Amino acid sequence: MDNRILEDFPVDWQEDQYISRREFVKFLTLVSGGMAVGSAVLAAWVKMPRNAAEYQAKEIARLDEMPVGGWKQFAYPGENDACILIRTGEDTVAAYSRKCTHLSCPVGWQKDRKRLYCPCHNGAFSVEDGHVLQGPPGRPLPRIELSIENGAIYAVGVAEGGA
Amino acid sequence: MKQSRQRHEQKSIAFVAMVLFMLMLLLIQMWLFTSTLEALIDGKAETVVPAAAVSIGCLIINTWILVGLTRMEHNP
Repeated sequence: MDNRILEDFPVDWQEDQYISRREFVKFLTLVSGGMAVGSAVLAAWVKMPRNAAEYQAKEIARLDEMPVGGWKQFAYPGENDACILIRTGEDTVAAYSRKCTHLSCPVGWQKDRKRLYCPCHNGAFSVEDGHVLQGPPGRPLPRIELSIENGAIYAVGVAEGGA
Repeated sequence: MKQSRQRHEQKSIAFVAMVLFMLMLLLIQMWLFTSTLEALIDGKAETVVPAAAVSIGCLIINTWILVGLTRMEHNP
């Protein structure tokens, strides 16, 4: 029965395998093309000119309501962008995004060690400029630019960490 | 007849060697793409353009090999 089918419909197995190899090579080239296009799109996206973001000034706290070493959470620039304001001295304050640059866990203020600490993976950032002190984060915390006028503290912009 | 068989075997070996070389280039492209993405997530964009250039170079070589293999097939 089987032999009769093969007689009626002969299959050139060698030729059949040869075609599948060719198809495989075509597939490899196609995937290679996909990788090249993906890399080119990434490069174009990085090199694309962008307009600098414009930030609105927002009052976030009053200086006299915060003790030295105290902290306060606020949202800036969006309602869901959690930030932390720290009074580092009599006349000095610092503010950073609370989102850890490793995996976005919220960082907290450690007054005794004067640092911002991420409990998820033991990451820590300097309160001076937001640079990484320890742990897996690869980038500093984005710093919130502040302005103090008549005892009121205003958030006026976001500087991506460059420390 | 024997010569033809030998030639066929040689062509098969050459074909497999070329496919392995293409696979190696493809793996390099995949590694470049994933490491570029990781670097971007980490805020480092210096390697993006060189990685894209190398990846396009790999594509050109792969396409050249594909054309060569197709010609080899059509000219026994």
